[in-house]
Amino acid sequence: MLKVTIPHLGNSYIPLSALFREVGLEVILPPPISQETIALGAKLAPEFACLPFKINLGNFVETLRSQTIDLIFMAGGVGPCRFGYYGQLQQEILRANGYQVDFLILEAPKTHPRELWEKLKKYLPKHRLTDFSRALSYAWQKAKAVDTFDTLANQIRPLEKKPGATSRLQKKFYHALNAAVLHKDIKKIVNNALQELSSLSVKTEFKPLKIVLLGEIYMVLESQVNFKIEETLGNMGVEVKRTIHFSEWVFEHLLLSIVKPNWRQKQFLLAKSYLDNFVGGHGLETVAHTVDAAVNNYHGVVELAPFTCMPEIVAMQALPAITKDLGIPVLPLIIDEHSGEAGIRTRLEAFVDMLAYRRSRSRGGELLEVVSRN
Amino acid sequence: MIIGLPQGLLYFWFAPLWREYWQKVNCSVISSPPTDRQLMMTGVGSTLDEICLPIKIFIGHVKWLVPKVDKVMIPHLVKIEPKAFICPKFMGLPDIVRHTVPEIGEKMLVVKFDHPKTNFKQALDQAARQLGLKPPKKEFDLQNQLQGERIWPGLLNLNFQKMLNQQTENNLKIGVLGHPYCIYDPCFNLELLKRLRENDLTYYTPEMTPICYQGQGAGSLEKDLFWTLGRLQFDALEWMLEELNVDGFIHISTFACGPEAIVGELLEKRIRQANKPILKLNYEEHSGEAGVITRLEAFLDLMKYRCQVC
Ligand code: SF4
Ligand code: SF4
Repeated sequence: MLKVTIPHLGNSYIPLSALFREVGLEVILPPPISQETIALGAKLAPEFACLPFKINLGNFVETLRSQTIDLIFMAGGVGPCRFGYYGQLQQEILRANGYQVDFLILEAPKTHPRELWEKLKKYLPKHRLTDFSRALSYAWQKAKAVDTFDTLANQIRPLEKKPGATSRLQKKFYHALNAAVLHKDIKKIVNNALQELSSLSVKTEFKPLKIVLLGEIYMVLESQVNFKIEETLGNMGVEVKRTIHFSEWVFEHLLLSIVKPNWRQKQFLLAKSYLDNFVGGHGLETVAHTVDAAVNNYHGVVELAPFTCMPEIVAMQALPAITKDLGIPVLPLIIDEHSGEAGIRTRLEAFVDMLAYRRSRSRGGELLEVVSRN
Repeated sequence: MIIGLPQGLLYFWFAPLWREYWQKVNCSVISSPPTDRQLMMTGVGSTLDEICLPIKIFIGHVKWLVPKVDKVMIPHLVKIEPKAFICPKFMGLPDIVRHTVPEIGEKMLVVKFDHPKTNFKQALDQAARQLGLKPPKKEFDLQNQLQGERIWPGLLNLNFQKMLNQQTENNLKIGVLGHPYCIYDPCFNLELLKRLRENDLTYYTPEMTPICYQGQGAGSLEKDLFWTLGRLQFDALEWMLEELNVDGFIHISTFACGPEAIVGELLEKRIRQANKPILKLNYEEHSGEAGVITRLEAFLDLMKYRCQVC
């Protein structure tokens, strides 16, 4: 059986493993991202390459060191951001270091799912298009399931009475979902998990702070690299609304950009007074969602950006003006291979304290509870 | 009306065109002076640390111009050719300026070049109309001279060919790669070109590349590069290797430049494959002259030595 691997990107391994398994490929996942993965990638990559590039590379090397892999699956793009050239350069670097491996690069946003199939078919002579579309719907179901669960988990976590209960359920759910192979099993697992989650005992009187989490997609989705920021904030008694979800991203880039090319319209309108042009990556979304957070009375925004990330740096220039005009505090966190958990934690704590203080001044009375959770 | 042109970013390509246009519609044009240390530090002081030095320098120029002119032209270069961008930071430049130089206010004159929606003339006409000026009827001279060619490579060639012809041909030939605002801003690169001349080297830059090489180098890549400045460097590389057979390369870039992190790596691989020496110089606002000179001299010695043995 042909062996494929994919780079880590949050929970995307769950739908992607399903997709490849379903068309008859063996999926080998890279070992979990560790400090060593990051160091390894950083050593081989150009100094100023983006952090996600380096970590992908680390993933590939760690996988190739212990296994023979036939195919690496990557997404691509057409600029202006560097992401569109990741695969090509990574392949060159791997080759230069003695790893011979093919890349299958899905050129989002311009590729039709059919093209992915055309590319895959080369490796799968026995499969038909219907097999592929079944695999696709199956992967889609899993992707949606993960995102539905995570969204609810972020709402429940700050309220849980037993610390860690939500995260434990989350782990269990990922595990079960990843193992499921039938549509009806998936449905059952999701329903059960959601039910379990909703029946956790929670503090009804507690009003959590609400923070919007946004920024560069990899940093937002990959909890091993963002120091489990959703969990950390949740444990500090904060309800986190994440603006980027893997399923949505796939939907927007694979489907919307074909059937409804102006799907970004709403973001453009929201961002317009602060950033008037698409700048690649999630730069425009960062600005739009910050405005959105302010308008919808969130208490604060955390922006995650890898060091040297161009779209986020452009967006970052606009954020102070939004804070000034609309009164929403923003904490930009720039992460690189040397970032440490302690530093990030301290900054998050200070930010949350500040938000709690602001709220207590405006409404009174809720400050003590947040502090007592720590 | 006085229009100010900040002498940064792609000013080094387009200044003659912009200047001529605004003069045609009866404006006076002033440019900010060449970058100096003070101007650079003004820019550094007003921007976030994370942004690259060329943008900081540009901001310094804008700040210099604001009190002296009626309008400061901010070129918004989204795309100047099909299928390639310049950089996300160029795409967000008007907003970066607006947020970092709030005193610019109504003086900001954004000229948006977005191929294929607007060509150069249309973009400038739009801006002129905004100011209540009547766009020139006929195409202006510079554009006339370049008829039939896509305007920007033609423009480049016109001006930079001159620069090439002014040099005397020496034994040692060196290819200088990088972005124009890194190569032609002596304050940024600590007078690199002058130092090369003083060392009796002939240098070649991407802008001097003959038009017939357009798309040649960039086209040989496995995947099309989607950055204009990167594409140009690959075309230049082809010219420098195949036709000029230069003796070595210097690659100039700036700390934390996004596109160059990728492009520079690809270029370096090609250059090493061709078995040519390369010196990579990476600048930031604190780059010290001493460090650059030492590395440059060591590199030039190496080139001279290689030249003698073969
Ligand atoms: S969005 Fe940022 S991290 Fe992602 S490819 Fe672009 S520059 Fe790199
Ligand atoms: S191309 Fe590099 S140097 Fe130029 S603006 Fe973009 S990041 Fe800065």
